[in-house]
Amino acid sequence: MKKRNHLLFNSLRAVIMVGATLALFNSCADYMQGKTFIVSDEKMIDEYIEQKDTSMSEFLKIADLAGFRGLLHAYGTNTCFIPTNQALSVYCQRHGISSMTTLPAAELENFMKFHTVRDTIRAAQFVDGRLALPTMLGKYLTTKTVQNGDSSPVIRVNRQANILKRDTRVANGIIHKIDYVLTPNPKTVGEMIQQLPDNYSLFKSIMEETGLIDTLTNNNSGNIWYTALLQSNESFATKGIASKADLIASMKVAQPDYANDEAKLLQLFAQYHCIKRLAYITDLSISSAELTMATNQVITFKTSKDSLILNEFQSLTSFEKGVTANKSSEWTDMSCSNGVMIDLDGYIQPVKRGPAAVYWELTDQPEIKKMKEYRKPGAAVVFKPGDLSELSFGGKNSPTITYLVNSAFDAKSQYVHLDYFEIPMRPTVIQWMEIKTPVLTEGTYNVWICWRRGGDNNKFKTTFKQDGKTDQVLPNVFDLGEYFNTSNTPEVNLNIGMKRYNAKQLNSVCCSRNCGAIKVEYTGRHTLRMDALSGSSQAAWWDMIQFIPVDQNQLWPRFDVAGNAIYPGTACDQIAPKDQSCSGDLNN
Amino acid sequence: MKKHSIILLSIIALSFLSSCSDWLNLKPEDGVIREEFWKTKEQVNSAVIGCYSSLLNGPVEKMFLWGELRGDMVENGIFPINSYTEVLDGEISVSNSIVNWASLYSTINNCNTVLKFAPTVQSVDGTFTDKQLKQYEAEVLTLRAMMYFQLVRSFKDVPLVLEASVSDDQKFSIPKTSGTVILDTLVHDLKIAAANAPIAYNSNAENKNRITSWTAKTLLADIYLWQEKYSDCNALCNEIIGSGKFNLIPIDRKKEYIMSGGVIVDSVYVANESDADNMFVQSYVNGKSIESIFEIPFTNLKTNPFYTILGPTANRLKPKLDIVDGQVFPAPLYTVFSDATDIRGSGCSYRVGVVWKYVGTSRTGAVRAVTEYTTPWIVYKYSDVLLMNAEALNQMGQLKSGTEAQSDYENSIYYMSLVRNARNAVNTFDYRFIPGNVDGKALERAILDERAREFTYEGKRWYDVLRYAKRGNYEGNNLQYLLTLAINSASPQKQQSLVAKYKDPKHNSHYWPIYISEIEANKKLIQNEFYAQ
Repeated sequence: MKKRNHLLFNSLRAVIMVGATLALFNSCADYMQGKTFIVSDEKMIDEYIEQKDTSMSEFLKIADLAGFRGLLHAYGTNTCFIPTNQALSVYCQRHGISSMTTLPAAELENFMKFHTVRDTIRAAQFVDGRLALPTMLGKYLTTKTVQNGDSSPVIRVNRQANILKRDTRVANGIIHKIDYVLTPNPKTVGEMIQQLPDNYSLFKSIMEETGLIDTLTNNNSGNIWYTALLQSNESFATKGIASKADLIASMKVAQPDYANDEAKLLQLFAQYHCIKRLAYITDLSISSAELTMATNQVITFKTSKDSLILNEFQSLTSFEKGVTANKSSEWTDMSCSNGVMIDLDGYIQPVKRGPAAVYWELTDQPEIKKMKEYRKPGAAVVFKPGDLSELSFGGKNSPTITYLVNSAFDAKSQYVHLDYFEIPMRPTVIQWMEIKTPVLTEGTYNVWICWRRGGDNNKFKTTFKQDGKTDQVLPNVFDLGEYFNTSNTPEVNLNIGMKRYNAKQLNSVCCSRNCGAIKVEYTGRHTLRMDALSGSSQAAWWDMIQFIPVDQNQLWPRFDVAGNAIYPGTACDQIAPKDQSCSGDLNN
Repeated sequence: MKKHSIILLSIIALSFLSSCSDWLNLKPEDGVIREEFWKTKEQVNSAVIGCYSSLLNGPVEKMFLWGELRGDMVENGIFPINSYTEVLDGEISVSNSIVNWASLYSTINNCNTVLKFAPTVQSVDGTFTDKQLKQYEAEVLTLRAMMYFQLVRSFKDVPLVLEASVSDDQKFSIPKTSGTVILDTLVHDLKIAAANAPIAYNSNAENKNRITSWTAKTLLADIYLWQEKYSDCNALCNEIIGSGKFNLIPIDRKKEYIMSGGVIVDSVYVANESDADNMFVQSYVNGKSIESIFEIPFTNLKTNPFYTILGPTANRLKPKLDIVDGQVFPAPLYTVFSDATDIRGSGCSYRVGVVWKYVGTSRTGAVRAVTEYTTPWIVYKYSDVLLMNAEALNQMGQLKSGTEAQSDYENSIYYMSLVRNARNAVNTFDYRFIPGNVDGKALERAILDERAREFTYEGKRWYDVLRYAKRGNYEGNNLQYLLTLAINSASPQKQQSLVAKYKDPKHNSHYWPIYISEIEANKKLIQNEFYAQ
């Protein structure tokens, strides 16, 4: 019995052993035998065409002849605009070509390059203008959604082809199937201007006479781009200009410095209509100003609803209505081989504006002006970085700027309109601040910061920045803790860069210091940047920034809390708040 | 020995058979199965509450995004996200999760489940009366209609599912039903719901947070307006207004005169600030105000989705101030009375660069902490009824002429003015109608603008403009309403493209595409032609 039992256990063990061993070997059998293994079953561009959509097969033949098959088959990021076979045959018929394959290899290479962008660009990323990247040919394609008659809206590429099927994703890029062949405009901006119809005759003749047309024609190397702003005879007529003589007369007024040099005036006019950059309407609509080829002359841009407005000028004292770009003109957004053309509804010319003082309240930020608390006594509103579009700042320890409005006048806080910013400018909190200035006309200015002192040794330096120009670091390091020396004469204080800016009372904590002079090279809104250098305590209270031309009176006017400019000799009861007494010299 | 081996073998055999009874039991250990639910009227009540709760998760967010992203009053905030940006730019794709309607259908299924099983409870629970059953059915019928109306306005044609999906044998591939047919079904359902739903519950909270007969009627009036059945809409609005159950929160206004050379040339009103604040707090902080007809409440335990969308920290969207401030809400007419402004503008709809009505704790107070985002989602409020009535009357007038038309216009202006006065709207020249000489089209425009102010960021803007554009099958110049919206809303780089898209002669671009996963899962669904390319 015992033996049988043993046997039973032995056989059981054997079964288990065999079973276990078999289990180790099972099911692996011939999984890998006789098969081809691919890492991914995603198709490449060429495979997609061969296997999924043969209506684009002719494109592959061209790719083979042009030596582009490798690119279409390799991993990478591409966007291909692929014309259908039918599109290619229509193109051939129109151009008297028997077949695309008969064209020389170099031409086919250019064909392939113009239809390929080396990045993945989905249709959702298209704008009403050019693609963000050029094609392999170095030229840009344009896109626009259009709707005509009873047809559904379509995306039109390069004004030539419509997209039939968008955004086909394959392993190495995106395919947009199109219904016609894309060809770059072989003509330069200069050549296109020469071919403009008769109603551009005056503009054409000026461009030719000044020789600018040659610049726009001959520079076609692929890395220089131009944007030409066209003036039709009708647009000249909006300012009563019908001839070259009229134009010169108008330019003499705008540019008095060159009144005796007619050739120079015409040249300035011509240069002013050219921007050395590729800028379609959409590029201009997100730009605020562009430097033209006329030295230090800018054109400003502003969008309003569906219009693009050029040269609208608004300073604190004047307003000039701008002119609109003619978006419906066939010449607008016309791609040329070295640039683009934009047509205008109205007439623009470079204007010389003399420097003019700007007494600016820093608290007049667009977001604040729209708040209920704006200039409301007792208000306090905290702003974080990003809240104010024209006053950016950053630093450590959750930096904030507070907008405050005093409830009542007192000698130590005579802020204009009672409002001011509390700014903890120091390396441990607000390390930097960038302020967009009001419009400054060209000239040289002293920059005066008007503030109530606070903190100890909180110092910063100031930099003036203009797009396209070298930054100007202002000479004076600013100390926010500084007191105003009330016993000095104004002249002595002026010599050390300080002045009194409050009209009502003289006080040692109400200061205005000259940061130094800046040279505004072209009219526009520029940037003042402050970088904190030292200090570790408190904040200071900022009221105004004054930009005063260096050759003008720096000491007057002063300002009262109602925002009035006060000139020497004004009676105390004419200075707000009228029921309060005055202190200090009101005449000097 | 033999005995031993038998015992051994039996133990081995038994060990294989052990524990089967539990193992085969399919009932969940931590839940209730259907056969054990649906036994008492209390369970029906909790199932109905469950339908309401399902709104908190997905549908509220969709109602906001669908109504505002395609409108012209929001733009990218400090931390934009791609799915929003694409919609703002008019680049709506089938793979954008914003168009996913799943959460609305989930609520619809909850409602369908109640409609299927609630009647069966009566046979088990003798205390469950007919009246109670009908009342519960009215609630879920209305909720379901609310979801379908949202879907039809957004997608036009959608699958109409009226059966609960409770078993695997059911068909899940359901084709689209025409929106027109769906709306007719909803009208039928809502008439029943309006008759059976309670006029009032025992508490104010229930009156505002549960469906009442008034909710069903307001929704029905809204559907009539969409269907362009203006006299039906007008009749219902009059009934709701006549009920006296709702009112506008009153404000005190001080009249100020504008003098020129010693003569009064004009006058403006300045609203009492504490009254204005009261309106804000009642409507957007406390909720359940006298104005509210139906709103979806949020609490500290379940906050609304706006911290991430609109809050100053996460800030995906912010007010498009160039449109909202100055255009939607006009600046005061006279600088000497800069306080003569609309109380719904700065300090209510927007403030310090954020959508204030979901973020602020009072007109000038602090911003909410993350756990304090409890502003209710207002589906309908009294002013909506007043303005729907104004719109219906205006349209009725446009079909008539002479004094008959003028009399409708006069009534229309009356209802609109009730809202305007309660909000101290700025009396711009667009609103100075001469009695007896009112231009119907000008009044039409004025009502749309008033709606923009009254329901700023309340998920209505896109649907209002679309309703205006599609009126009379895009009759006359109506499409211009949408084109203006495109110009106001798109970035300059996308403006012309968006205008071209809205000009789609088949108008398919005015509706959303069906989300890609729905198309893949349901072979009978056909994608909106505009997006099929």
